[in-house]
Amino acid sequence: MKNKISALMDGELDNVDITDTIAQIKKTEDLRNEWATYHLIGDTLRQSVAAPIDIASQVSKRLAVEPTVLAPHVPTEHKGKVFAFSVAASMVTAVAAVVWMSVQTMDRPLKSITDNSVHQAAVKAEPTVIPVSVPALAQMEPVTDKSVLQAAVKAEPTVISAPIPAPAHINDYYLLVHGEFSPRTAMHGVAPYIRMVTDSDERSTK
Amino acid sequence: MTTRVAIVPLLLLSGPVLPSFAQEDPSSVSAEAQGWLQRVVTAPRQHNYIGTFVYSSGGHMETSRVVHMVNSEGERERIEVLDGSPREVIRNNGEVRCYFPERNTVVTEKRGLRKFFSALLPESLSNINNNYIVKKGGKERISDYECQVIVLESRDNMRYSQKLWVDISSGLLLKAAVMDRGQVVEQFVFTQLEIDGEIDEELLKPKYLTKAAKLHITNLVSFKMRKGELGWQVENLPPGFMKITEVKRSFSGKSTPVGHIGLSDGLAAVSVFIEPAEESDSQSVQKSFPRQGAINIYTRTVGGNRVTTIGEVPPVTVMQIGNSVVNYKVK
Repeated sequence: MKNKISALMDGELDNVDITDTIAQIKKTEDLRNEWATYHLIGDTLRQSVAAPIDIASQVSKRLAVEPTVLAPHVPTEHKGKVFAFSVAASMVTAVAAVVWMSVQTMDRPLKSITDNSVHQAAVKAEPTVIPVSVPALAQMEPVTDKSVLQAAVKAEPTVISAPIPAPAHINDYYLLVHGEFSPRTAMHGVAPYIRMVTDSDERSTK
Repeated sequence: MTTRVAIVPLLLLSGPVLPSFAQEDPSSVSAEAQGWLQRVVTAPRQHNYIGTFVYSSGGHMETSRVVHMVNSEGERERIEVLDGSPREVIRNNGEVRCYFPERNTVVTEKRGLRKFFSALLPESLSNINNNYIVKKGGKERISDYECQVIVLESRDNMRYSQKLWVDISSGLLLKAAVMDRGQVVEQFVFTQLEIDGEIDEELLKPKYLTKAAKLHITNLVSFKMRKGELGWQVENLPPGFMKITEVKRSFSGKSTPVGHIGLSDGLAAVSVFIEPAEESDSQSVQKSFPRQGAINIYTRTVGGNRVTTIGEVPPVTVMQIGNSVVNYKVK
């Protein structure tokens, strides 16, 4: 189910799965948390201008000044609408659920969201992953000064054939991620991972 | 829910069984050989197997045991390295866990990108034809199974050639060799294998789970980027290579996400990882690390970022790709 939520976000589910997954999200609070967490991580990674937490505070401000409507307008039923519409409607509900959840947590700092129930959610990202601070992301910001880049290009680089095995982050993470993406994995199954575990072993014995 | 879950693998299975080879140029490709490749990709999703294989590369050789099971819950697999320090890889559909018990470490990847290739297969196959001469070889016996040999001969020096031994009755890959101009770069071969026997689910459980409380668990999380969102691209792609994916990934222990561009020629893949350089990284030094099996690794720094290029391709290819990675937000 957790994988499906993630796939739903990336638009990779088929129609049957979309309705099914959205229905499950609506029913289960854990899954709504899951959905919110994925969005939070996704937005943070994408350096989205409008992170969910901001939307929440804006919505709550609006709600505070909104008069209470005692006899709300009942929308007319639109039976037989195209499937896409019902999906869109479900999405709106799901988004509303996220906003609701965010409003519930709006008074708390970002970190506390990750520390609570959301933290139990499927992503199970290490706490260090989720609250990526904006200044930290700024470091990822590419070079905007062309002269710096040109200087880097002009500098005569030396290619070193390092006699030592690649650093730990390459062996432990990059090779795993690469193996997962490689078409050979589809053919050999897990076999390509052996390469990675082999190398890690060699390094640890050195 | 249960029925839905059961349907999903079936849908996945039906996906790749579509390609028509009728339009292929018969002078350059054996449609039959490509049909064999198709079988190799789908076979693991149709057969149970349990066996022992030997992986060898350079002077290094290692034996592993594999248990592979397919049922209504999908595809599950466990590999245990039998030589040297104990290591274990467990796959449960899209999720992969690598256990390093001696280091008390587990590395997990929740949502693999494997589906890219099962889904892209027809396209991937025609791309293979552009970059390799696909030939049907003779028949050879591996682990007591009659196999069809398929040769994928590289059309240039930007990729390695490959030789595959495919079990005629199941389509499973029983032996594979990566070749660099006639020299074997790496090879894996089953030495003992039972196909389609009953499999005890106990055999799929990780051996080191009991110590889980003490284990350090690292989860890899990824997010797909919209086109151009990453801000980096490879300007001088070697012929035949195309961009397959562009994601940002979080690795625990790293304060910033890492950009990942995935490239492929249909058979070989190259990954480019981009992250802020550390103080120890020299601005002008480029480094290539010793080949690990067929994998070559090359790093360089670009304007304060460290670019690591990894792929099962010759050193010249990782270097060409790594050297042409640019940030196109630079005006």
